[in-house]
Amino acid sequence: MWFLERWLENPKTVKKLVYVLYASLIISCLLGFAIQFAPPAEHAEHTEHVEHAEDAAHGEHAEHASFAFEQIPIFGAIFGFIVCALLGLGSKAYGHNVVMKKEDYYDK
Amino acid sequence: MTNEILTVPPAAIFIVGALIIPLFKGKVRQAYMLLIAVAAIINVYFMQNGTYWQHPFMEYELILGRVDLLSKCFGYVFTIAALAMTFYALRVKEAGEHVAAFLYIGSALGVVFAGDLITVFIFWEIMAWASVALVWYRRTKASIDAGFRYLMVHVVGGVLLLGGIILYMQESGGSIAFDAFNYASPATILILLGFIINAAVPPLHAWLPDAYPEATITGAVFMTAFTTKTAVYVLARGFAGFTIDGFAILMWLGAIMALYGVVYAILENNIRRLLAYHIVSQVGYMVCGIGIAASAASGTGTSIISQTAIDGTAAHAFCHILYKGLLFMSAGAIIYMTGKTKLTELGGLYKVMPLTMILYMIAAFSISGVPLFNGFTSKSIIIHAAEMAGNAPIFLMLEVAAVGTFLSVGLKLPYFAFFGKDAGIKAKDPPTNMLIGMGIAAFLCILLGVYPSLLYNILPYPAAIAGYAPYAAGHVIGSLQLLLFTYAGFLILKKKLQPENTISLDTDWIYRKGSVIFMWAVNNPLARGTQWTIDATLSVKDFAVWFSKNPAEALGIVVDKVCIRVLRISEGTTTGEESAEKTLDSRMRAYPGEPVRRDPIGVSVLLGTIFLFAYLVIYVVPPHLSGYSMIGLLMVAVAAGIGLRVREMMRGVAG
Repeated sequence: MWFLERWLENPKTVKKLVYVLYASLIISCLLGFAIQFAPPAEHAEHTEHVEHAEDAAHGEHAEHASFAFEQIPIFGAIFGFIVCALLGLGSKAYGHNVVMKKEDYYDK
Repeated sequence: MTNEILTVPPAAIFIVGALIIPLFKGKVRQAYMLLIAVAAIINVYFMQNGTYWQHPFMEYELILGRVDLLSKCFGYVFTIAALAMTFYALRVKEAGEHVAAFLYIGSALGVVFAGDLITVFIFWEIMAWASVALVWYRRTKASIDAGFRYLMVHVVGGVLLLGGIILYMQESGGSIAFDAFNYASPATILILLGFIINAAVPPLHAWLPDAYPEATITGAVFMTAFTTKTAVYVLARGFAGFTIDGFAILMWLGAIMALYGVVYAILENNIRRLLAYHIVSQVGYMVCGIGIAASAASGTGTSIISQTAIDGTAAHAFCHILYKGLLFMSAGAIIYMTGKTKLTELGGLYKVMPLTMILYMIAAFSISGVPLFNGFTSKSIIIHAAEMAGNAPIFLMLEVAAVGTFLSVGLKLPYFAFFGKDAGIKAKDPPTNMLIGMGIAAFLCILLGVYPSLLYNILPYPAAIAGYAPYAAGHVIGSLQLLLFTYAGFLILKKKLQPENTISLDTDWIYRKGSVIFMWAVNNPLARGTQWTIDATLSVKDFAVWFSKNPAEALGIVVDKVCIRVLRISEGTTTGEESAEKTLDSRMRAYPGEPVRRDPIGVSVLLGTIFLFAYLVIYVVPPHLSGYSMIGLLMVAVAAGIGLRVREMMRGVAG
């Protein structure tokens, strides 16, 4: 796909893509706050509908359906970022110190 | 309504169909194989709920058709996946490979619709042997070795399962019914062990990332779908209420499994091994779902949680087969077209294999749980069940695994294979038949992501899932935050996460390096011990043969040998000893000589009288003596005899 190639090889578009990423990070957090604190009318109706459906299905268990920490509007963001870093670095540390060996390890 | 439509066991379609494949060639064979796959889907669609196709076997009834919502859900996805994968494998020339694949699919379907434990076991074994052929057809040394290890593990699993089944028949008074085992006993634990070996639960999982990356390109695709998912099915069928003293062991094993696979995937360099570790991780979600069902069932009146968890497990198995098949098809396409398997050798492939990249990304987004893809609508049910059960540790472990999945499959692998540093590889997109197979899977990944109700309607407990809305605003936004910030984290850590040209040791080390120790023990202490036993036995035999040639003379030689030794110890080298030795040498050289002694009759009479006298003494005296004093007397007699002989030698009159 030549057009994709020309597009991605262009430093300007790469820069634009990075801005798009920043924007979407911010927007996702803002949306988290939006549904938490100021549910707009159409959203409220939607979530209410969903909750009713869940109530009907799960009866008395609906109140357990989410944990307190999930009520933090940017829980997903914080969790994703921290876990990504810990998991990536932790795994590599484990690998380098314990399990990673040269490819011919089993042939010797 | 559909009463008139004749259906047959779906296992039979593939197994009988497999045997005819070698009769066809070229296009006819291709058409025939697709026909079988399509026929199987239609057949499953028209199968009525109920229990049928019973066959007497010894004093038992084998049930080939136990059809209900749970088995039908797995039946659908197995046959649909079989169609997509058959398209993908259409150009494989080797008839045997197709036969193995079809036997494998057929036996997996056999397990799913089996209503009794003996049928499960029979198909379980066919599955192991048919799938190992898919590894061996790669025909490299690595694949043959890996295939043997794969077979060894699965044979052990099969034996555990058989042992459990036999114990269960004893326990239950001859019942072979395959229903829920809700209590822990030696029988159920052995059956569970047999099942979780196939589900690749750590530490019994190492066969999977060991063998799958060594299988043929198309064989690996088939293998991703069936072995682990039949295990998930039998666990959901048999162990959805299983606890050990109220402890839902499968829930914790599953959550650990989900994380285990993720950690190893981050370290992996081989693309198919990376994806194989994500089978371990994703099957972890399913095992965990079954465990959540068990944990909730042990309480009172909370069956809605159990039902939701089982729904989630079935849904996730369904979606997993589609996207994991697609991931392996894409990885297979890369290997097929470039001949390279390692991330460190790949890069910049988006320029030459754009369709492969797009199809891969659809599967990667599915496994990562990106909204509008099928992983989002199935994985979230299991996580939701953990929420309903109020189990925060499990919820968090599964969420961590979700981040890790996106990190490896959604970001690391595509970044270093399709983008990243351009390795300048000359390649193009794979042939059309492979793209069709991938396209079918990709289409279903998106379809079930956009219209989850299509899947939710065929789950085992449609009522429990009816009120669940995956696209609730909070859930969608939470997931997007999670994924976007994981992406941000990846971009920051890109350098640190670079693939490295290494392998990672896993629990297969125990039998790969342990076997070296085992072989040393066999070759040294054990082999020597065996040789010694053989030598000792042979020398006894040789002596007996030598001795029996002329017992009287032989006895004399032996006695003289002993006497000379005694003489040497007591006196050192003397003339008497020397001459005795010379005489002995000549006697041994002359041995056996003339066995029959030509003595006068009087000597025989004398000997006979002495013998009879000795007999009389032995007959009269022993009742008055204890055993020890008898032995003592005997030793005194022997010592006296030897002493007399030694004295003769010292005087130089021996011989």
